[in-house]
Amino acid sequence: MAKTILKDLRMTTESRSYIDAMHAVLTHAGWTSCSKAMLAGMTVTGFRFAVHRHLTAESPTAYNWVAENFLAADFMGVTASSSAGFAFHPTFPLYRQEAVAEIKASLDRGIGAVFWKDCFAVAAGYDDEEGILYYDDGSGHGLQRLPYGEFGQNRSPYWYYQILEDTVELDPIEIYKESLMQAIYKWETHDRMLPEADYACGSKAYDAIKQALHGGAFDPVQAGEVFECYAAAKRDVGEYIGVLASLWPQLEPAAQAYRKTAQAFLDVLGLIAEDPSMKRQARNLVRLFDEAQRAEQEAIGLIKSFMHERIRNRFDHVGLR
Amino acid sequence: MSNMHRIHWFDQRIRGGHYPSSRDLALQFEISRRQAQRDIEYLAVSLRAPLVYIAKHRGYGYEDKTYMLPHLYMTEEEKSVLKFLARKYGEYSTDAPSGVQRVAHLLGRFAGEEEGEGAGRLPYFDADPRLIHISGQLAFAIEQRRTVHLHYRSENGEFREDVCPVRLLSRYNADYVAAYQEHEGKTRLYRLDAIESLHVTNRMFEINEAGDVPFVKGRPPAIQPFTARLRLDRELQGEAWHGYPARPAGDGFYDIDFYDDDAFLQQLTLGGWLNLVSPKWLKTKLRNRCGQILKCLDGEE
Amino acid sequence: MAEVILRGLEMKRESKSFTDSLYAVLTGAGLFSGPKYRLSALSGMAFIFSVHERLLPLSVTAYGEWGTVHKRAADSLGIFTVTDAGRTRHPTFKKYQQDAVKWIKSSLDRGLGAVYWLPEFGVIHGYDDADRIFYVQDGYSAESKIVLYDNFGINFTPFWYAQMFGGKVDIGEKDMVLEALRMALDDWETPHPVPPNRSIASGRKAYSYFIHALEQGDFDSFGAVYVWDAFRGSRTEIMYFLQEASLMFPGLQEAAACYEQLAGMMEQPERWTVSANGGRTLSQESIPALIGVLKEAEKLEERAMGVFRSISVQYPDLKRSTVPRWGLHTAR
Repeated sequence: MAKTILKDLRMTTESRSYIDAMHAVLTHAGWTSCSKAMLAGMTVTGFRFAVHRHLTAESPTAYNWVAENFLAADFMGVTASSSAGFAFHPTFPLYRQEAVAEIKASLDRGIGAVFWKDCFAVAAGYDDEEGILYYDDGSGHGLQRLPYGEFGQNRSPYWYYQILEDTVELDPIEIYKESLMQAIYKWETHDRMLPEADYACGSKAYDAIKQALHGGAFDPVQAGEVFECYAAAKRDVGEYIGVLASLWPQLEPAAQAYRKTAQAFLDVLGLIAEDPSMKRQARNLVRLFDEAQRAEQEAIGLIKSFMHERIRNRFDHVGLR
Repeated sequence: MSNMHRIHWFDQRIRGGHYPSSRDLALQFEISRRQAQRDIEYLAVSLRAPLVYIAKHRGYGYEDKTYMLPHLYMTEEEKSVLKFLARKYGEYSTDAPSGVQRVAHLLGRFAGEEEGEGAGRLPYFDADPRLIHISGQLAFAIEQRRTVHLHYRSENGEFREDVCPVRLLSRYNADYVAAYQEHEGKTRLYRLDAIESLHVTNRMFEINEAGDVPFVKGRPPAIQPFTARLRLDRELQGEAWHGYPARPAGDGFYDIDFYDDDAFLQQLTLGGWLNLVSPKWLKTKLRNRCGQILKCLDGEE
Repeated sequence: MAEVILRGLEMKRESKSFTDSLYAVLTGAGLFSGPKYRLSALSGMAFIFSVHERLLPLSVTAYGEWGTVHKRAADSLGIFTVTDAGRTRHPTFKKYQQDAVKWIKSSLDRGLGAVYWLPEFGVIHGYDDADRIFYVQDGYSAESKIVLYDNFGINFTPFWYAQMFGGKVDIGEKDMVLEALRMALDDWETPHPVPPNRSIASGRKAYSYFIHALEQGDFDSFGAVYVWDAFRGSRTEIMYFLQEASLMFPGLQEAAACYEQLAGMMEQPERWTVSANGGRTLSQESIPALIGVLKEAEKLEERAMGVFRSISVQYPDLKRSTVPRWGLHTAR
């Protein structure tokens, strides 16, 4: 009967994304000293931009967690394993058992684990006698308790966990360059997992947002949450490209463009604070998203010319290393 | 930069005493004046041609009449062989390692492949003359075991240091030199594109141990051979037993490497050994094989 | 220094190599009992039909992201599974390789074989720490292939893949059959299994690629035979399965009849191929007739799919009406 609680593993939320959880685990493990902004850029997660056409709150986490969070770790040279599924599937109890076992094993190795609890949370300990996991979801409530049997039972029908295993040394310059390639991929490619009738990705996400604001078919509270998450992501990306620009001065205009995008998002949040219904300010909001889109498009264009050789050599699939 | 045929033409015109100009080049190949000018610059800078502009003729000549375009003159037949090879390498699987693609491109360039003309999906590399030059200097230093003074710019800042270059490598999308750093006492990788300048010194160095070059783990892995431990019936002269690499393991035993177990089994049936110690699976396989043969010999089904 | 060799695991190449491997592992562990065609259909593997535009031999295994398809197979059978795969050239490969060696050994310790990409798919049925090797059955020869731990995953393709299995939950037979029909529909409607690659087609579209290649005459001769064999085999499996399944869903009788007709058209395998240079190639004279068979087959399958659809819509499908957070594509 074992009990383990990792010391000092705490999570804070900024973008309320996977990055918040990953950053907590990696920093605690001593595997990175990067800021969340740098992590968001290097893992490419900051560049992902997808929305439900009705701007539902799940938009920022509507992506292939298994693939993309694996890649996030892989791009950083961190080996990981993960699993996910529908909690209503008959095999779920088998997977729940394995999940808890894997998470406990990770905690025994002194590494926190990421899992889904209607948001990405970090498992920081367990107690066999009580049959619970201790976790932090960044809500400020400190370590919370989750009985083993309740793992994976969420409001959303998904269960998911990721174990971060070990690190491999990578050339940081290659990480930065690869992230730029992936940023282009994210801007231009629709996520296969999301039906196009209901979701839009990359550049088209802006169009979907503008359309929703025009048409009014959305819940402003949920939309507000979506914009907050992405405002943090855009800010992270602006910071990240800024750091890259100190290495490669040619990227400075791209950094500025992203900062413009981030600023537009901040302005959006400002307008929403003033008009939570988003009806009165709809036109101004659309204008701001338009600005954000144009600035981000400019940034991508600059990144593309910076990376043109490698882009050409990846032919149809800019995302495939 | 598939401009070799234009360079070649320009070179011929100079030799023929025609004093070609950038305008001539542009007209001949229906390219822009700026492109033509770039070709001329390439000839002068990268190919180190002793170009001189003769105002009287409003065109170019060579200061040194004995100058030869290095390694670039080739027959049509040679070009077609290279084009063929370039295509073969280029078509080599979509997940081909980048080394293969680079070869394809290099071959294509020498053959003067035009972009779009059957170049298809050959990767294209900006041939940065500076990188090529640095690479050349490092290759020389490696061969001559000369210490190199590097002026290097990385995200940690700029610095200068003396290193002993050991190997040039290409990984994923970048070129590196593995070099041993004397006062740190270890080998690390330096990106070629982060080298501001370098100077090959007259000091020579000794490398005593291989040292572990970082990031090498990323290389597409090579298949390891199986190793059998055999006691041979006589001492081995040289490092191979019937073509299989062999290392003495003491007491008349040898460790012998092989990839194809069926072929190696066949070799074993020819004798020349007294004892097969390991691996166990090989012994089992050989025993089964012999058992089957004996059954046939004894007329059993 | 441990050594484990599982007996009673019989891998034989009769169907798709993954199906053959899956069958060997599951029947060996008592996780499945029944004929192979039933496993093939219930796992969704039978319905898979993928074709490269030049009928390259890789057509038969290029049916999508293996991790996704093979997990789907285990899910539909109610069996826990872990898959792992990647590209050997990526820098993290060595770590994953060593990890995989460990969990495969633990699977063998528990008496369960593992599926492994040789290529093609084979079954790891034993290990020996002294020699540091795995024993792998490829379904062709009685003797197992030997793979060094250090060579695990390294082969002439850029990918490595391994999969192991665990516990099982009972899923009602009717639910399993329904899920099989739905997987068939998913594959039928997916034109390209590995986008953005458009040189490989699947489902309905695979027919047009197959027919086009035969009409143009520009195709890989060995691959063409392999694709044709795999097609014949899988459609026959579907036929047997539907004959059984129509006991549960009488509406399936019509679909079974389509496949019976299809099987009838493909009779006399010798008619379609000739032996040459120690191998088989498609018989030139039969190609026009073959094209005719394929065109007819497409119509028959389309009809069968219509039957599947009409049965599927009668029951709720939570899995497909909810956007997941995985699958469809694995990490690039």
